[in-house]
Amino acid sequence: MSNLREQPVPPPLPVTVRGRGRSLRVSVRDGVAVDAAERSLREQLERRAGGFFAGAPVSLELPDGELDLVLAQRLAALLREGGMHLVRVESRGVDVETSPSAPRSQAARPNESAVPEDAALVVRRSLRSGQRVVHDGPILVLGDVNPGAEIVAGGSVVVWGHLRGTVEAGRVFEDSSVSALNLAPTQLRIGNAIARAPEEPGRVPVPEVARERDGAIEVDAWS
Amino acid sequence: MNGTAGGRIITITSGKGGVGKTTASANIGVALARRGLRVAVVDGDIGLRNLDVVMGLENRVVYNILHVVRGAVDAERALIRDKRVAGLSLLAADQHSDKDDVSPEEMIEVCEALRNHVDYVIIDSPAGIEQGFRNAVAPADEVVLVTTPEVSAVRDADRVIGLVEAAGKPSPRLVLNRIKPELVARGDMMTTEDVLDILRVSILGVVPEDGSIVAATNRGEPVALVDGSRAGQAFHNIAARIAGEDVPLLPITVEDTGLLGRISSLFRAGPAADGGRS
Repeated sequence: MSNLREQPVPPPLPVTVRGRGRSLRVSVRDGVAVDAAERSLREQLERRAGGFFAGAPVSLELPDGELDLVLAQRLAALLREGGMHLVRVESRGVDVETSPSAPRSQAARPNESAVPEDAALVVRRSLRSGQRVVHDGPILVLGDVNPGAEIVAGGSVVVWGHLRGTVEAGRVFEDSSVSALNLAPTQLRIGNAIARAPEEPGRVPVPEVARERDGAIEVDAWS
Repeated sequence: MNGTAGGRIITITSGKGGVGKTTASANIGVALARRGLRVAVVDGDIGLRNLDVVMGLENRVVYNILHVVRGAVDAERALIRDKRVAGLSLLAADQHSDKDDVSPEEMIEVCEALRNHVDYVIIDSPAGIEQGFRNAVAPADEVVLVTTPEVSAVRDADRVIGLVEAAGKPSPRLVLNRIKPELVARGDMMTTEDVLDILRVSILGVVPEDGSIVAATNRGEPVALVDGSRAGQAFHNIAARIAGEDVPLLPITVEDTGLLGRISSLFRAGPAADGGRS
């Protein structure tokens, strides 16, 4: 500290936290290890102690490349500890997993979740085999959900495309539905009801919506 | 394209094994070379060694990729020149090591060195989505995905597309291998449209099932060297498309099956046009 001018420029933080109105944007720099990212976020949250951010909706921006689930989950846990609502995870890798909720039977009470009912996760691309999206609120997919892909939502699921993968809706919120331009899932669960798409070769796809009624799944035209 | 000077690096991969990756790599290499282009085919299946056998160059392997990685020899000097086709050469895999002995960075280094000497570097990826696959995809400017029209192969191909895109590479182009025209005509096999309806990538070529491939492969003679085979023609068309030419897809037709085949082909125009959609 003898010569201030020789102090190096501090390296960029592994994690940056920016406010935008009432909401927050947390971005992780490329190539940062999970531990370093976690430490950096924790320090920055502690600096604004006293629940400064409590209740704020947060978007988490992860580096491009295959999504690091451990990283996403550890940061999501830290944000939850701070009382924040993770509403959106952005990454070019698609294994988006926000706040994995307990199955509804294990949750304290339905309609009680870290996520407000309208905090939708928007996936702006198709989900391919092996890709999985989990979110406490509703999920909107602007693309196809291919066989082998999986969606787990606390609320409703809307697929603006072919739904051919596995989908579970309504883990947290009652009265959830699953709708798609072509509703042909490998397996469909809403609440505690399970259904498979009937095999109808040559069927012309029509937009449909599935809901749970008295423990069974009912499918109607989506109008 | 990553903007680097020199040849283009193309990785051939599939996810599922046994769909014809190595055969496709050898034939695309041969077909590009027969167009007068310089091609280095790289066996990325380190620990196994197939490509040199399929190309009939097994007994000429002196150096392999591991020698290059370890710095024992230059990449260019390790290439085995195929005497049947001018401009075609092979970098063999090493059988005495495994996929973890090479890192993605080392693969990139080897291929970057090769691209200075050729127009195309074709990497034959191992099956699966583990280290060997990651090594093979790391240097690629472009990825070509081989699949057969089977549900399990298409499922794996779909997974691989997701991984390739997540690795920051452009969306792969598809080679649909071993289409059996008579099964497609009967509605018993997925059609090109069925496969593309799921994968939603652009198609690079459709290769019909061809008994001459098996015979040629066992002789170490890629079918693209044999004039008159339908599969060989399909690979020549694929090479032309890779080189940037606009060549229409081969029609999937039942050939020479006598009266019955000709009658069924009369009907095919109708039901098969939208056939097999689910």
